[in-house]
Amino acid sequence: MLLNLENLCVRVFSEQGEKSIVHGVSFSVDEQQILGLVGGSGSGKSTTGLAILRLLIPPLVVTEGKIIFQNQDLFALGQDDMRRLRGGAIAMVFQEPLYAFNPVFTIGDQIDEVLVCHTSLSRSQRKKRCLELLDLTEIPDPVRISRSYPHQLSGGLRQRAMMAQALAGNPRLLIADEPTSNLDVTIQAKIMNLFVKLKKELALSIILITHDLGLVQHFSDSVVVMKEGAIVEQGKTNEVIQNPRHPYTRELMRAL
Amino acid sequence: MNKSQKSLSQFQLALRQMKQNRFAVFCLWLLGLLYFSAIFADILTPYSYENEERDFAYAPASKIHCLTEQGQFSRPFIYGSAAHFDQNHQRIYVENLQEKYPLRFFVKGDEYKILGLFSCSLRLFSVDAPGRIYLWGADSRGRDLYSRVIYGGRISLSIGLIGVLISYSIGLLVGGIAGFYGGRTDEVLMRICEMLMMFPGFYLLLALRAVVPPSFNSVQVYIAIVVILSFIYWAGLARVIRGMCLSLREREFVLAAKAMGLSDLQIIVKHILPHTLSYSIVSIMLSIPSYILAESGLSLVGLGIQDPYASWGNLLSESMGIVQIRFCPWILIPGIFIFLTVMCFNVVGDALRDCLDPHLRGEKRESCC
Repeated sequence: MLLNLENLCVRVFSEQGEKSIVHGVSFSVDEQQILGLVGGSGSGKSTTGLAILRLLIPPLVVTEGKIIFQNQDLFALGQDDMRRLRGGAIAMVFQEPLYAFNPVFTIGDQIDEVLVCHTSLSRSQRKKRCLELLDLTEIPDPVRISRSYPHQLSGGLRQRAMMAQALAGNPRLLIADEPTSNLDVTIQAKIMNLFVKLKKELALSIILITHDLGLVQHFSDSVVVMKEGAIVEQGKTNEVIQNPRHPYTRELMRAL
Repeated sequence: MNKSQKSLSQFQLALRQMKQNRFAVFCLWLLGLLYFSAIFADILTPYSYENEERDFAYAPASKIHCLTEQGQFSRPFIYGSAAHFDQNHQRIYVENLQEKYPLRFFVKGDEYKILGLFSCSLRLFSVDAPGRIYLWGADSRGRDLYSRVIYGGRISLSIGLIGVLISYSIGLLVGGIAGFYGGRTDEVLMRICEMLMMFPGFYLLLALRAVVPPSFNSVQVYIAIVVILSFIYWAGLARVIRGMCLSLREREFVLAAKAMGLSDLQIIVKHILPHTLSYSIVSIMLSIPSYILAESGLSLVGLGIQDPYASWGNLLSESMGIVQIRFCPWILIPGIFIFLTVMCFNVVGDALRDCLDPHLRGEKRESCC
């Protein structure tokens, strides 16, 4: 087992009082597994994703629970150890790379930044590695792309570049937060196939956060369905899809 | 929009806009000339800044002649001159037509070091001793005002740049940290800034200058003044940068940078501060004059750069009496240089603001087409 969440609770504290956002979420991700985290807007799935990296900003606070990653308790780690983990063993792919990339630097610069942070490669090695990474995510003409600014690329290319950046730190776990929601259907399928390919080639585990049960049905090994901050159903994808027990899952199925 | 317009980058667009502003381009060249002359002051001037000849106190500008008294063309020369006292005990300099000193180019003069490295004594122009050439007249000790103004540019022009460099480093960092962390850090840092800004600038300057030990040599005084100036001016910038960072830290690329495992300082310096660059560049250009003026003010009242070193401020301090202004108006020339420099920086700064702002750029183009 690579990652294990136990009874994760997140609350928001404000002047109006406090409110529970995520209550008692527990699931685990195995090695080389794609886990689909499905739910509607505001179901707490993105919050859960950020909580794994300890990236929640106050007023959002994790009040309870335990996250075990590779046998270490993430909440017990110091700031520096946690930072080494972020972008290193656990990397994140964001929904809209246009915003997640810094607009004033080229793609190459921003991949290089991760390499500087998490590897001890020399300048020329980093340059080579950067092109390798872009190639790994099936980007045509990596040299040109590495010199481009984020706004110069198409949505699909940007998402691939984002994945290349996430892979730069040799992660074991990839958290993909709605990676395909802003893309059209054909490109969506290509990106998802790329995720599956990367999973096999690099022995990655992936948490796929999405609202699209269709994606999960085709590409993930197991599924967790969330509603209003709680898990309503989880299990192997086939079993859940073929025999949904909770009314909300059935509702999602009907929406396909 | 046609094809050629599309292919221009933001920088090229800004450059094109800049070029359209003829006055700003002129000012930029003028600034370049001033800095060039300050850097190569040793070569461009006939004498070093401390070369004095008391017999020529307040000598007026030497007249350069091209015609001999017989009315023939000759190479440029000046007549020797000597001081006499008139009935009011006022010095008057009378040219001695018997003494002729031809203007010589690339001659050996006072020694200096090129860029502080190689010893050299080549001067662009001068006249043979005992003649002395005063392009813009002489000061109370018979030192060449032209040489001293050009040398003075070294201090006056560099103090603005170095001062800005230091105070902007502090301002950007403090503003960045305050804006990024917010909360209590922000409160504390901003209250410190406000405390600094509360004091009237010039009095704070005088007070801090009083703290500098009198045993300091000129270089140390120079550094002290730069540090004091930077210390006074960083607070205003820090406040603005903090405001920009407060909104920038909410952008998703900051979260993404955190998710990449960057440290907070790395995020501030590499991801947030570059976004304040277009503001900073303009602000730097517009604030350099205040450093130059502050140094001039300090030197003018005798608290800045000390004689024999020249800065435009302490050159002007000679003109603090009615007698000097009435009879030796050339003493005011350093003031023209201060005025020109300040004007140039302001014009260039304004032009930069117009051309770095894409919104403003669009408006201007529409209105002129």
